[in-house]
Amino acid sequence: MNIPEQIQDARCGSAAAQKALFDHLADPMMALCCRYLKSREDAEEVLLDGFYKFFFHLKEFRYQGEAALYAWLKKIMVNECLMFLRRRHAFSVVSDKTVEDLPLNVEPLAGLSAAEIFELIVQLPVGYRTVFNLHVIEGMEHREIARLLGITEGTSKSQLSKARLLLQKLLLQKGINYVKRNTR
Amino acid sequence: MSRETPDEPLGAAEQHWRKHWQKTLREPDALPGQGLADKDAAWDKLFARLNARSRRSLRLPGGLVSGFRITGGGLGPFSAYRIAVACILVTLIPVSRLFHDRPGAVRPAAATEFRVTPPLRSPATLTVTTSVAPATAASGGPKGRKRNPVTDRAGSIGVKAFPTAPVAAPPAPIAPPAAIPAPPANILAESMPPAPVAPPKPAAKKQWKVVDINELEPRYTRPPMVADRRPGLLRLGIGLGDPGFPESSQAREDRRLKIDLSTQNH
Repeated sequence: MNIPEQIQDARCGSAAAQKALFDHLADPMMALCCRYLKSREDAEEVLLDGFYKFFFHLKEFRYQGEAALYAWLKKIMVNECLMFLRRRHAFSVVSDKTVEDLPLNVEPLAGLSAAEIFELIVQLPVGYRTVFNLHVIEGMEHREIARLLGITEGTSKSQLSKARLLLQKLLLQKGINYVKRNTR
Repeated sequence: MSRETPDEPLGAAEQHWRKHWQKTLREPDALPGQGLADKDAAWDKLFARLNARSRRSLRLPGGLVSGFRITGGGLGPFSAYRIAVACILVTLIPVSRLFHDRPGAVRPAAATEFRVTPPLRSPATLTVTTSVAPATAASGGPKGRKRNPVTDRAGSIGVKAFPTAPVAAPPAPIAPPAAIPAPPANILAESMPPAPVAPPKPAAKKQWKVVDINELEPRYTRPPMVADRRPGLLRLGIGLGDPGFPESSQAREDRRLKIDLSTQNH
């Protein structure tokens, strides 16, 4: 049974179709939740909340391909993660002072595997990590991030700069110099 | 106006590594080790939550009532309870009024008057009391039909019915007590036959009689507008006369549509 049929059956309340969709989509969504949240227990809780909303609103979803399904479910999960962080007051308060932005040597970065990227991101603090995820991975603008998190655009940029700085330090700790100083 | 600087355009190299990270992390199988440890247990939890919601939901023809909330109508919680209570009240109020206004219903006020009213003692009194009010008698009220005191109840306002004892003979004058010699004790003990046991008197047959409220309340007088009306007769004017032309009261009376509401057959 392919995904459109599973979605159609899940809309009608078929438990088998819902389980098939859950099995198919749970692992990538769990990885996404783990990028935003520290503990796996929290990530699993948020994942179940997200899938609960997914199945509840599945009747309103218009299937236009697997990419659209992924994008929609990912949006649900990101929103759930942000709501969870907001409930826990997990965002650290930082000043708007802009940190010096260090350009990265992109060639080694482009060669990192998914596991290495994931390991680097997970080591960032919650505030940095959230902004970094939203801006770099999800591709959101600072204005949108500021609206979602209830912060100013300057704070969002500051968080991103600090995240990059910390990322460089983490890379240096690994013994690999991925940082290239800008020679002005 | 916001003083924030717009997002600076990214260089080609920056875009390159970002796209690489996005693509790498967005792959469904990019992080196989980060999936759910126990997928079946997680599904069981999710399925229980979905089932709990579906159990709380109740499908009705008008919409989905979930958790005592009508989601389709935009009403608040417990709206179903409110609607049900309103339906019950709307049903019960007319029924209670129907039973309350029933002619045979005994009212507490009537029961109180029943206890304090003295019973009638003579048929003469009955004849007098079943007639209409004194005001009616003085004005020469309708005399044509002989009224049934029991069935003709519609016209007599405030009439009470209650059982009365049978008419008894007037008591004989009591003679003054004379000195009677007491018989000897031996006669009383031996020669006197035992006194016959008197047969039990038949129980007094109760009769229902109708009396006018004037008997119960002598100071009561009927209102002047209804004093000359014959009880049990409803008069309806159907408006056939010319309003500008004066006519006698007799002609007006003859033109009225008369409906006799009494239960007695003619």
